[in-house]
This record gives sequence, C-alpha cells and structure tokens, in this order.
Amino acid sequence: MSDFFIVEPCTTSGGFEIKLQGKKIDLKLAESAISKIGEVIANSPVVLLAKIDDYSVSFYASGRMMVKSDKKMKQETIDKLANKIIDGLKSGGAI
Amino acid sequence: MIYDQKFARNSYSVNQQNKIRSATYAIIGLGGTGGFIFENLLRQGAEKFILFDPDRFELTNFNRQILATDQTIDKKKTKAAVERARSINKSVKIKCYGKFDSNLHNADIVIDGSDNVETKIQIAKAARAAKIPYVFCSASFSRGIVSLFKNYKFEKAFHIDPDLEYKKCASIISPAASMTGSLAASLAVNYLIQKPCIRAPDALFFDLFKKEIFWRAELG
Repeated sequence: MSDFFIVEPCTTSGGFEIKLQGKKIDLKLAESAISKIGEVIANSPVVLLAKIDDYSVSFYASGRMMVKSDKKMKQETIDKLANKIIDGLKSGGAI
Repeated sequence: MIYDQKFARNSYSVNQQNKIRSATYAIIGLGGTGGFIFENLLRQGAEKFILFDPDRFELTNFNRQILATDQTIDKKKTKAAVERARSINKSVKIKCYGKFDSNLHNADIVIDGSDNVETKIQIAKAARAAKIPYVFCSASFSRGIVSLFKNYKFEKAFHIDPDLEYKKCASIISPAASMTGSLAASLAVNYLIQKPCIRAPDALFFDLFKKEIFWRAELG
C-alpha cells in the first residue's frame, strides 16, 4: 500500500492493524486531527480511542493503529479507511 | 542469601531448587498463557529465560494478560516481562527475541505461550530437533489443555495437517489463561525435578464452566 505504513489483517477479528514504518504518533496532535475525520472517544498519554466511519480505532504512540470489526472487512474498505486515517493524522501534524 | 529467603517457601529440596534455578526456559509468547507461565516460573525461582514475542501490549490484552497494565500499554511485551522479572528477582538473566524463528538458543525446556497452531507445530519441531521437552498448552474461553511432549510427535497427537490454516481463538477469560499458564509452568518444573508429570499422548484438560473442572484423556 505504501512504504510509509503497512496494513495487516487482524488474525483474531475482522479488523486490521496499521503500522507506521519508523514513525510515531503524537497523540496530543492526533486528538484534534482525528476529531476532523471522526469522533474522539477517549485520550490518554499512551492511547487514543476514536470512532471513524462507525469503526472503533485505537491509536498507540508507538505508531500502531488497531481498527476493530466483528465482520471481515473488504480490502477496498480497509484501503479507504487506512488512507483516510493516515491522511487525517498527516494533515494534523500528528505523524 | 536473598534468593534463599525469597524462594524458601517453595519447599523444594536444595537440589530441586538448584535445578529450577539453573535451567534455561524458553517461553514462546508472553500473552494470556505466556505471561502466567513466566510469572509462575519466576516465583518458583527460575532465573534464566529466553523469551519470544514480537508484539506490544494493547487495550484488548487487559482482560487476561498479567503483564498488561496502564504502565506497560504500547510497550514491547518482552521489555515489560524483563521489568517484571527484575522487580521479583534482580539476578534473572533474560534474552529477548521477537518472532519465534525455531532457534531455541540451547534452552533446557520450551514452554508454549503461543496462540496459534502454526507456531505450536513450529515449536514442537524445534524442540524435537533440539532434543528438549516441549510443554504444550492452549487456552480457549473457559477451557484449557496441557501436556508434555518428549518422544511423542505433536502433529500425530492432534491429527494436524500442517498445510491447513488454523484460526486463533480470541476469547479467553482470565482464570482460563492463568490456570493454563500455571499448569504449564508446573509441568515444566515437575519434569526438571523429576516429579510425576503428564506426558503425551495423555493430556490434562479443564473447563471452568463444568461441574467437574478437570479430566485426563488421551490425545489423538
């Protein structure tokens, strides 16, 4: 998908994980960045929880993002959502 | 001196305690079962570990993984394990690795804290190649199973076709993870100090939601 991040399907649910390549997430900046593309549910120094396109997304400072889904997501939906999240974080200066 | 006092209540003989202390334990996976395997070996006075886990702690680990706390969230599981170990016994010697690559680094015994069949097959093969015992365990929801493989082939016991894909089971309650990990750690120590222990093709099963929680059965 990109040499900037990788997307891996979750083995225990229908969701997926986004891993940034050698980058971290500034969770303070991510809060305002993500609030423009979804709803921030909770924020702490190490994890930010948000709802984006009806999916629960956890952001970790180490550069990982977990998107939860009970059902197996289509590749097209995964690609679209991953790009939306990454673009949102980039535009807010969080990565 | 401090070691002796810390682990005196184990009530093992000096010879047995020395065996536990000097053995090298490889633990594959530090999640639900692996965390409890590690904790129980530490509490029994084990000091040499080879740990494998590529993951970091996340929120969904909190229901069952002893090392998952607000202090360790987003931290590498191996790093959290080292910190935990040092808080119990400063003399521990731990080598940490990411994904298990079949190299057991001269461990005396390997204990399975993995959560998928592919890795279990890989561990079993590596243990056979290294001629060391493999303590198998697995937990799922309220259930668990433990056994020790030395000369009995793991794949045979489970009729496993290595070409098939096996799914992980995501749902495990904490008592099942802790019970499974504790039994696996106990099995490893029993083997090392030559106490009776269950061996494949026999296995110990439990289901915390059944009236009769434990039973013993033959695999395969």
